[in-house]
Amino acid sequence: MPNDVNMAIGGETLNRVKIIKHIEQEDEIGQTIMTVEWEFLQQLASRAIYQK
Amino acid sequence: MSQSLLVTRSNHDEATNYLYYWSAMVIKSAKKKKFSVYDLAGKKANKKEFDRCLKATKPTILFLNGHGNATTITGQDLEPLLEVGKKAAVAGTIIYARSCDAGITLGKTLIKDGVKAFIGYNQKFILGYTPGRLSRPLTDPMAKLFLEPSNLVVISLVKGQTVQTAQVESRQAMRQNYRKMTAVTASKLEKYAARWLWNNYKSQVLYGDAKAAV
Repeated sequence: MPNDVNMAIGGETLNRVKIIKHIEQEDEIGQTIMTVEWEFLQQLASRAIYQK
Repeated sequence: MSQSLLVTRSNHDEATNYLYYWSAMVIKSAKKKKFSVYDLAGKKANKKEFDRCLKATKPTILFLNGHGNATTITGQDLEPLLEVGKKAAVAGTIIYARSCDAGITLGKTLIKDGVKAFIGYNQKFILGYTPGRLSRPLTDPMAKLFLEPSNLVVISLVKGQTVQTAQVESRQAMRQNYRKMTAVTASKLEKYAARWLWNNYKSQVLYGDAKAAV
């Protein structure tokens, strides 16, 4: 993940370091980020966005 | 009868500050279309003012910007504005909630309470932004990729489109941005943030009367 982009999610604003921390702690935000990642990968594999 | 738009836009942290500024574009569009706009900005986005304004103005469209969860949407300093189980004078309105998770429970409950239609998110709403643009949110090209398509929900509504069309136009704009962000010409930042926009794309839900329009 690049350093010069942040994400705002669920009342938190996260940079790269904070995102990694949440994932390592496996807290709610960390789990959400992992779900987002997983669904994105599934979408890439299925190319769903390119289908009508 | 004149049409009206009630906007809540708190600005107590980085995320809400972005929504605060980007909502101004929607307000501008509504005024152009001769809507009466009631703008609960910053500290005015509190429960007392919100309830007073709802009762007094009976808005055609309610545009909520703030943090939320499955059962609640908040205003300034996380004060709940709309909650499951607490009555609010929202019957007959069309609601767009730019807020996390409100589509899970609250949106469905609001329809039962008489809201015409609800557009919101049944997962977290994610905003990608550039830390260096915090003081100038409207110049942030990263935030634009997220907030322009979501603004389109209300902009379409004030133009007289149906809720269904507003939903489709907004999601199409997200789709277009997503394609730009995953193209070979996209920057490393855009390619990374594409996963967040995909999350918003698939979690933007519509409940109620899809044919409703103002």
